[in-house]
Amino acid sequence: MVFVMKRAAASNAYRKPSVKRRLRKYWPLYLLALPSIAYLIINNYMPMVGLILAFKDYSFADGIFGSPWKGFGNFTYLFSSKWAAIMFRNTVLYNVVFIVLGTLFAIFVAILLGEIKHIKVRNFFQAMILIPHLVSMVLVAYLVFAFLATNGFINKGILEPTGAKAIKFYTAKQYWPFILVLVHLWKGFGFQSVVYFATILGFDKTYYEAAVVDGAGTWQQITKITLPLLKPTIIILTIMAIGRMFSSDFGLFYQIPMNSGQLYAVTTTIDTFTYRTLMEEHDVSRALAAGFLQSVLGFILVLGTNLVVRKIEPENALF
Amino acid sequence: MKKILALLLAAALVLSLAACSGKTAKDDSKEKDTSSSSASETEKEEGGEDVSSDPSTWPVIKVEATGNFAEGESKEEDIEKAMNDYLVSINAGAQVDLITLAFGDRATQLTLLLTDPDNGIDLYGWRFYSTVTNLVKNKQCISLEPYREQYPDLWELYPEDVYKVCQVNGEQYSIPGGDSFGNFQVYTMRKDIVDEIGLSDWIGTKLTEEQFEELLTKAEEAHPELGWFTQTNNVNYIGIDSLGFDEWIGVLENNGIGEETITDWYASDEWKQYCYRMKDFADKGFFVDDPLNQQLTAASVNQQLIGGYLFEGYSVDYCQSLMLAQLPDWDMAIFQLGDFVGKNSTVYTGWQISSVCKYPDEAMKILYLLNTDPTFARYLMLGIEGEQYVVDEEGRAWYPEGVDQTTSGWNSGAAWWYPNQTISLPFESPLANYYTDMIACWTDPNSQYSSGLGFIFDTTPVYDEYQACTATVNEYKNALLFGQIDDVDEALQSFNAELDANGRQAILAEMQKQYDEFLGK
Amino acid sequence: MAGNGKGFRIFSNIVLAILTIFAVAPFVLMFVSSITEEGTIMREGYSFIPRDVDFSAYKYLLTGAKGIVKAYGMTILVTVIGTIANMALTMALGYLLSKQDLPGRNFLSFFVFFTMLFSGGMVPSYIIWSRVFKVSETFFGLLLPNLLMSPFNVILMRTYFTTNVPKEILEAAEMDSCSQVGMLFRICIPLSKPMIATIALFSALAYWNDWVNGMYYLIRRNDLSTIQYVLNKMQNQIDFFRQTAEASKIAKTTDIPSLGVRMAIAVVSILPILMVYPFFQRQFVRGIVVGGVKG
Repeated sequence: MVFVMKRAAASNAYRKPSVKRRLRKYWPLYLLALPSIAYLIINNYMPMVGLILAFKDYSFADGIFGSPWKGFGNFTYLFSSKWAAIMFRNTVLYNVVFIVLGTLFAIFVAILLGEIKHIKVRNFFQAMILIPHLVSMVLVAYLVFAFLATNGFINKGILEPTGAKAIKFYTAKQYWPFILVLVHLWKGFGFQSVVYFATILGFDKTYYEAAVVDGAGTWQQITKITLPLLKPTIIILTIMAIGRMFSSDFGLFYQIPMNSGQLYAVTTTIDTFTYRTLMEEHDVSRALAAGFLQSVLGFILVLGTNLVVRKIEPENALF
Repeated sequence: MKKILALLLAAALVLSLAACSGKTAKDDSKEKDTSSSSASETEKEEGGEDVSSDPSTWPVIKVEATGNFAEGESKEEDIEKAMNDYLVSINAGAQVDLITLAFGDRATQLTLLLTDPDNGIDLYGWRFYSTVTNLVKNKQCISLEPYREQYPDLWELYPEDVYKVCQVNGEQYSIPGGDSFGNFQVYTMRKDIVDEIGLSDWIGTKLTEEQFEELLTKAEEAHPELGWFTQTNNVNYIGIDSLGFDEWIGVLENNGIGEETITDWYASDEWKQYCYRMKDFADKGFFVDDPLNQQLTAASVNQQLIGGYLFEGYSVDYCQSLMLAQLPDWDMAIFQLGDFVGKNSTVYTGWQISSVCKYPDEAMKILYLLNTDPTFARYLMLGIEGEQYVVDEEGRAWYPEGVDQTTSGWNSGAAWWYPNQTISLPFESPLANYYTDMIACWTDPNSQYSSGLGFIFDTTPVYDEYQACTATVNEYKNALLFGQIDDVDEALQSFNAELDANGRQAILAEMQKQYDEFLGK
Repeated sequence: MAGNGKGFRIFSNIVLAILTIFAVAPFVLMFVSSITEEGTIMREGYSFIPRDVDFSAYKYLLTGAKGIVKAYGMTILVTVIGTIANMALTMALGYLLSKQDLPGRNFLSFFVFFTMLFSGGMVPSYIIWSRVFKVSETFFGLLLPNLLMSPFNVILMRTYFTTNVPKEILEAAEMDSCSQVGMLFRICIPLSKPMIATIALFSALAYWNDWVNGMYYLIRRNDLSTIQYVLNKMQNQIDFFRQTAEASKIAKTTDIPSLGVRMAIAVVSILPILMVYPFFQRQFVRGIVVGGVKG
């Protein structure tokens, strides 16, 4: 596409002035952003000091710095059994599926939203698909339960009237990978597609007008204009999602299956395992150790991804 | 720019270091407080009751209270004032500040409060929050040993073994809450059904396994639409002492009475038989349709989902009164299934002083009063007489005319939550001897106690093995208990194989070793 | 999109209608359950058709939670103030990061992104906010911790400014000796209305739905509770009593229509958002335009 090339050429031709000159140019902006940066430091960076607790045996009486060191002792419980393999596999595989399907579905919906010209109708659709995002996972668990329970809608409303045999979902693990993916999509697609849709709304209309003049069909407009323009947003959102590759939505994997033991093989993730084993102990250190490990692994993945992106398209790299 | 940012970051680190070392400074002051107050303690011992004459200078002890169930107007301030006036009248040298926590959010809020020396909490109970072992491990409470001499009667309120449940390595960290310290298993069934199937003669008797099964079978024949069993994990019904752990990896058989050997429960024949029995019950339709939907048992009777269920109680009278309170619309028949046994799991609560408490001496005084002074403790357990409750001629407490749960402003129905409910009054219960019967259990020659009462297994040496086994137990236990697995043999086999792979034998060996030490072998 | 595909537009409408049903149907099922007598559901199963209509759940909610009106007021207050502050902080930082030739840009981006990966957890956050900044038991406890700025939104804003605001316009403005701050108000904000409205929406939702700050920082001041905290507390309380057999010693917990109350809670908390959403979207976009012109 012409405009993409033009933009790339423009940025290549752009020669950076000296740091001093740029500092002089941007100093009001730094000043403007100072409160934001201060907030990050207070709200996010200062509590990070607490991460050292992952290597300590936290004592409520002695506080963060007074607690005795413990080395890597807080991590071993994560690797001491067959559960290690299961929880890492589940966490990563579900995340991969979520990222791929979630992104595709959200873009699809965003494009459809862009087709709706009537603003009231569009707002209505937007509001409706955002509803699932608004409720807590605990509540979603009860919605799911209303469908899947032995007296749920699927059994009493669909299977029984048609003469099929009732299914005990909460003890049958073969269904759960699909159920979990479906619930995740259901809850998340509205939010993500609203982000993509906002991006699409901001595109310069003239591209599309020119394309129509050139005789491009809807499909061509999507593949040749919308998707390339969306690329930076897709890349950024994906990189951010990759950073959470080793974390999981606790509610999705714990509340939705109602913590049913027979489903553990397909529902155990690092977060649910940690919760189940530490639930009654109030062991701040071990819980933090698991979180720290998840962050570090995610961090490494993000650095790798970002490096690759920077090699290929430096403009779209996150940092 | 990087430099500036680096500087900013460094500043942030310094700030947060200062913030957290602020804590150390506070700790110093706390130590000072402790030393000064223990100094006054010595003075006290020498010169008798020598507290400051001005109550406004007395330390304020923050005491946990349990919230009203409904979100109505709370009368917390009135009750707090009444308590403080009383403390002044007896020249106690301490004042209280009540912190009301709702059960649902309590675990999180308590954890936060226990990190906070400025606005934390001084006195709290461990029930539904943690165990004494974990509190000590996390250093969330302090040792009460220094006060044993000053308050010797606090150690004589209950049977001696009960105190061991709140000890770690022989040191008292928590004072157990008054209770029956033992229960037996009962089964309750709608009386109209019992009459219908012609087994009314059995009511109030102790049933054998065969009789119990016959009762259930006949009831199911008459009412196939109802379930008869809501929980299958009652340790009293199974007849084991789980030593207070839900995982049942090592247990004492025969309710722990006279038992010196830790049983590898999941490899035992008894467990296997129980699984088959539950499978059989499930096949016969005794269970409610979906065990995951853990409805309140009594509520399920009201909804006509079940016709009976298992529960525990310390006396038949008590069980009957509980039924009257919970199911006023139904006439319920009670059947006894087991004997009265006391175990770790029947010592339900204990109260302790937090490690962020700045005035442990005064906190101890309050804890002592809550355990021994009925006037003081009843403010907390019942509220103010005439406002939240009235007492009838038989010594039972009731809501006053026109006051109920939603309007009283205080949770008067939760005496069992506080340090010593036995100095309270029976509340909204027809049973005038509610607490006297409870106390009578302690000296009843028929009361039996598990040999494991007071034995607290420390999982630290086998921590990783224990956690791995816990995960496996969670995967299989309930499924087997509720008879949800078709091939019991196969499930038991893989269950046991996994437990062994996760280091079960190491856990059992460690458990036996500690138990031997406990028994003094 | 400039459309010539009428067929595609019809297709879009149909698919979105289906998705709307997909998103909302579970709530309809639960709403019907909330007004159905609980025993009927247990015995006969869940259904979209109401039977044995019973409003006791809503009655319980209204009598049980007396402070509900006040809690609504508190929620609105914190949402409005929070969202405005959040927008200012997010735009300032997002705009700074959108400058491609900004010295230290990569480091700053990294600085923002890093906070999305690592967190010190509940206890250290509580210690900082409660002991250093003393927000406990005050209105600031609701406003400040965690919600005032989301790094996710900052990065969204940055990406939007870089990709959707044409460089040519910015360069032209620079020629006209427009200041960097002026460009934010005169060019970037007016050109980014959709994303700003979206981020404002996310921020408002975050404040509206938050109960964590209430739970952590308002342990004793019930008079400052927000609606979500009140409802969440109630729900936790019900869960607790359902899961804890011993707790049934408290008489009369059996009267609580647990399932129905849960759904009633959902209805009560979602309804206001549904009602203001379309209004909010339009008004907000308009507000931004006015602000942009004046700036």
